[in-house]
Amino acid sequence: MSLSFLTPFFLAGTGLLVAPWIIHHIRRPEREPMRFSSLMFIPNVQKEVIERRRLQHILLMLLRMLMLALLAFAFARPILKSTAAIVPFEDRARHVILIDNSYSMSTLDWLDRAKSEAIDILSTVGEEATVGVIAFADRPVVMASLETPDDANATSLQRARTAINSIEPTQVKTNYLAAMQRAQEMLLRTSEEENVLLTAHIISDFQKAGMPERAEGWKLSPRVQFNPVEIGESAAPNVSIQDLGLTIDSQGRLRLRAKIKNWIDATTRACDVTLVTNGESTESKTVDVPPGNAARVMFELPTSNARQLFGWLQLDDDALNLDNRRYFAWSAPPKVPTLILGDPQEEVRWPGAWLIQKALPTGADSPWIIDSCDQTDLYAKLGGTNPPRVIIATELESLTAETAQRLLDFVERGGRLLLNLGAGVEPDTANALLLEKIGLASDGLMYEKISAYQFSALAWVDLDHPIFIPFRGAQFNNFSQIKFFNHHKLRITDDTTARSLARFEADRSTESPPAMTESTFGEGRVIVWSFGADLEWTDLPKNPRFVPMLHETLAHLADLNEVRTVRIVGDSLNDQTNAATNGELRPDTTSAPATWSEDGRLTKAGLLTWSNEPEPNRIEAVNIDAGESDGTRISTGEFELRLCAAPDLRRVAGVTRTSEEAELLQTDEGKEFGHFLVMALLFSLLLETAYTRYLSI
Amino acid sequence: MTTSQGQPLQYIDPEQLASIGDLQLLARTVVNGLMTGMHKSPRSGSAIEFAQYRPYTQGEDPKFVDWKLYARTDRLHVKQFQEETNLLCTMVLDCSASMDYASGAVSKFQYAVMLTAALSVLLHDQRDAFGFIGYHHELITHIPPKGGKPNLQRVLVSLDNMKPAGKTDAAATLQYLGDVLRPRGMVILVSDLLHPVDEVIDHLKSLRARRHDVMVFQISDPAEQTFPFDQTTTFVDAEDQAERYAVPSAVREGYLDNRRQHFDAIRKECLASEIDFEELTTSEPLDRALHRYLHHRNHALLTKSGSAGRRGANV
Repeated sequence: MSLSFLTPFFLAGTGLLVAPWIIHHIRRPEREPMRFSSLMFIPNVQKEVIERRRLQHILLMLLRMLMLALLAFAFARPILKSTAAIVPFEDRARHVILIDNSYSMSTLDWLDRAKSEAIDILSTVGEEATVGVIAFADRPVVMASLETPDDANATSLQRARTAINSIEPTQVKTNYLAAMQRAQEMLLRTSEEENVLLTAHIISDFQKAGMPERAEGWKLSPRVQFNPVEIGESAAPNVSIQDLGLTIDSQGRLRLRAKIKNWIDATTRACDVTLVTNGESTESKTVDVPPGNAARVMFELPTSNARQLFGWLQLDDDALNLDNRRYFAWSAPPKVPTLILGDPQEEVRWPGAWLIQKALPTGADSPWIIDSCDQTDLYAKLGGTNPPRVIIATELESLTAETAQRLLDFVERGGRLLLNLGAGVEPDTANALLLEKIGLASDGLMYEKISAYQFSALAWVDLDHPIFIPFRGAQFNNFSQIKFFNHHKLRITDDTTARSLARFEADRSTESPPAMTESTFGEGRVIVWSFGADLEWTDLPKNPRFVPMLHETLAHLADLNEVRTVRIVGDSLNDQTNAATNGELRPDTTSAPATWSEDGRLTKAGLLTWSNEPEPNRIEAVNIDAGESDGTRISTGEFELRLCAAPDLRRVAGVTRTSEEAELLQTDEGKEFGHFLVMALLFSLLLETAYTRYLSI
Repeated sequence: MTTSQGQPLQYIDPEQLASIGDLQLLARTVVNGLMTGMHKSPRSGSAIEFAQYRPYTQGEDPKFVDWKLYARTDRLHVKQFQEETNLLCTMVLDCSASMDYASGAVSKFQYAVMLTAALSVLLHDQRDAFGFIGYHHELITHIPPKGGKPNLQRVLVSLDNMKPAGKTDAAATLQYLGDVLRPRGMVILVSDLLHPVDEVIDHLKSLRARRHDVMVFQISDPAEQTFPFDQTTTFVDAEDQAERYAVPSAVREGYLDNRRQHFDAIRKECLASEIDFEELTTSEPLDRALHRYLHHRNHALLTKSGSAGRRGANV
């Protein structure tokens, strides 16, 4: 064992030991004798006391010298080093090399240069060092582990070299945080010894888009040394297609809009934009894009009799070609078979069923295929060739048990029902046959006799529900003007999934009853209106909000409002490939098929074709993440600041910068014990304070 | 506490008094309004001011009989008068170097000089005869008791010229006093009494034996009373320049014990010999100290004269 110091120049501080001696002997002037009136009362101090006092002062001086010595030694960072054979520093180190293979690294030969840098790093670490390799884009993939496989014949460096050479570019965006976390996990899991040097080398283009907006406080452990290697030039010229979207204008024309972004070019660039539709190049345009800016481009697509369109926009080649093509796919919205179930109302001039039917459009542009029947024909309609997806039950003269059971079966299998509780529905019968099954109950009619002078009004509407979200504006959200001359006193029973979408005003005796409710039953959904749609019960059909509300209600029931997922390379398809009802992927129907990995993650941009239900041959576009085209970088310093522990923390944790320092620390016995000296110093300080007070100095 | 006119008594801080250069003005400031006409002659008899009538007893000198009263009442009465003064007072001031100690702005010697001057003015106003002796290890000044303003001037000038120095030899001075003073006078000793107890007490007792009325003003500095020092240092005796190394925190208790024993012994002996003993502190207002003392003495002598009938007057 031998004593060494990491920062031996602090030992010069021991020269300060002379300071206490000076203070005690030279710098401290003799205290002036004090003239006093008489010494006759002052007890005589014995000589032994004076001698003891002198000794106490010498002890105090030595204590102060000890404190200074401890301070100097603590700063010099002493360690006890074993004199046994020292293993070279490089051979004890563990490294993880992270190589960015996101699609921005496909620029020019950047990925090859990254691999070359990684090979160079391998040549600098010791022969016995352990090296792991991670390829990362949006998620890290361990190419070479730090643990030695049981059947491995190659050394760690050989395995790392093989792993580096096998890294392929991807079309996925960058996520630095996940990669750094994975590297730290690897290093700390395999290195429980404190004095082993741990290093994470990250080789990347350091795109700003790859930094997380919120790292949630995560920092690279202070024990891990961080070595960033930057690849490529930030000024590589790049133009990309952004914000591609399809819209249908009021005349039914399908338009394809996109932005052409000139990311880095210093001059305005003329870009040829080519539209490829259904595999054929159909149109080309040239747009001038100023540097750092974007230009809009628009194409009109032919939609005559076409149910489906797909293709892509293509730009000229540049440094990064992957973002020069952006795919699109369009399908005509499916028509929803809708059945209006209502009994004939001979004595009523405008029955509710009639009003609802007139409120729903027909024709080629209509999303609805409207059919109607009464209760006697319901069985035939449900078992027909084009069964309804949505049933609007209104103006039922008397609800029969058969009809109620058929409606429940329809909903339980996934059908959607809009039920109007009109005058013909007897409350007790409706409760027993239908309403109790969906968590509702009718407590009877609100008014025994209908009069023009007594009516209810809506007091509350759930504007957060998808049906009413379009009515949020101040000019649409006033439903209180609608008069309800009668309605069922509906009640939501306990322990049910039913919820209220609108409520009437509360009178003095009862709480406000629901006007509209939504319930789930089986796999389907039911919306109940507690009033009939005829003009005798309500003037709702005469209100401007009636038609839009009816459309939004049916669209909600038929899931027409559901937003289709925009697919990005890297997204998972597991939720759909594993569900038999959602169909399977068939990649070979287009000339530019997207690909996916075994775990269901999309790996290449292109076009996806679904082969099964619910929409056979539906094509979807898969594109790369638009943010990855942005070549803006962050400095390695900022990267370190955001994702790594502060340098001071790293020093405290013993992460060293030089191999000389690390060599001093690497032996098992090479324990630094400066902190014990600091503790001794603090104890001495307390002792000195107490001793000084004891001596009354 | 109020004056005879019922006004609140305004005490004067010793520091402010010490800043007055004129000793007579200083003393007058203290005495004014304090004790004018308070003390009486120790003997009643013929004098200027009428005191009372008393029945004539056989053997008395008939010249004191009030014949006009006899003509009116047909009884013999003797007319008594109150004598204004015939007191011989000697003030003895300790001028040793120990009196020069001051922990604040006023030294014990300054305080003692102010006290002596105030007493001189007080006695002068009473038309008493007063003298002054200053001493340290030897007699410095001796002004025999005498009345009148010139004597006051002489005493004040002598006080003004006093400088504290040297050791104390109170025994020799008191012995000298006993030899030169006429009996039945008054002796006022102003000193810090930092001497051995026995010799001081013995000479004070001998003064009492000669029927002197003896008062002792012991002057102390606040620092002497509490020994408030906290720094370890060497103390130097003001009189003989002897040095003593001491840790105040360690010797404080012993110092206070020794001091208390010393002055308790003096006080006890004084009490036994009917010697008035009063400790005055230099931080204490001088007029308040005087007032407190004279009030106490007045009360004590009245009690004494009532019981013994030896005196008819107070000082």
